[in-house]
Amino acid sequence: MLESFLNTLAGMGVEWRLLCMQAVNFGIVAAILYYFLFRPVLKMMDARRKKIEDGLAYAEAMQKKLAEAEAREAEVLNAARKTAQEIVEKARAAATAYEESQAKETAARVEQMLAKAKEAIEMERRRQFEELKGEVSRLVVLTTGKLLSRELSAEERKSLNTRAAEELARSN
Amino acid sequence: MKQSKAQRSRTLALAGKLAVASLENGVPTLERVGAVLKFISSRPHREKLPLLVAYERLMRRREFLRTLSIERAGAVDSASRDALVAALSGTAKVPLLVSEKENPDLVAGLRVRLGDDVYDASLAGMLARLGGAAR
Repeated sequence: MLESFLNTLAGMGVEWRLLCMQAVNFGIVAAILYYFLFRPVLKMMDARRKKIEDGLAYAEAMQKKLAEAEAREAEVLNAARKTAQEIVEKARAAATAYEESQAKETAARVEQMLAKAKEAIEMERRRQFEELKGEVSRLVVLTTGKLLSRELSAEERKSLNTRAAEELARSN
Repeated sequence: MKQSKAQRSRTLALAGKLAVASLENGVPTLERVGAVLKFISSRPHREKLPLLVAYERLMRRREFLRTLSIERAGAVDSASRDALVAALSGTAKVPLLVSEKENPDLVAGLRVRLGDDVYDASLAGMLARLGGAAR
């Protein structure tokens, strides 16, 4: 059977010995290429692929971390915003309270000043009234004295003097 | 020479007794005052001057207390005036030294001073009191 196959090959113009030799040569070349070219290239490609996979995994992890960091940052920012809002509200409330207290204090002061001013005006008015009263009294007394000294006759004077002497004598 | 406190009080007490001894019915007489002055001049030299000064001061004070000064504006009925002098003399319990003075500022009425006391029964005084009360 082998012989018939070889004969068929020979009939097709294929020399089996040459074919065997070429096959051996091909095997040798293939082995050499496999050991010295394909294997290092494959190794290098594996390493490159691994590196790329690692890089991708790292990028993915980083992206995840970034997302986490962003989420955390947003959370922190929200908390900070909330705190800031609370502080602002507290400050606003304190400012309102302070403003109200200041307004009340100012109103009280103004009222006090008004009361004092009214009191001072009243005192001044009374003082002027008293002064005027005193002056009027003085003028009335002076005028009455002058009028009496001019109008009284000697007889009237004597009568008054006598009455005064009698009164003084009675009172002693 | 300056007297001590005790000496001063002794001098004052003696001057008081001498002032009383100078009076007869509340009025100093020439004889009594002369006798007192003689007594003072007989005292030791260091007592003489302080005693004389204290005695003079007391006598002046007594004279002042029995001096009646009457100020008036216009004439006064003499009977009323005498009644007033008598009444005041009774109050002072001594005969008074009376001095009279015309004062037109009183308008009418009298102002009488006996020692430290002043009795004002003048129109000017009344008006002044009225003015004071109105103020």
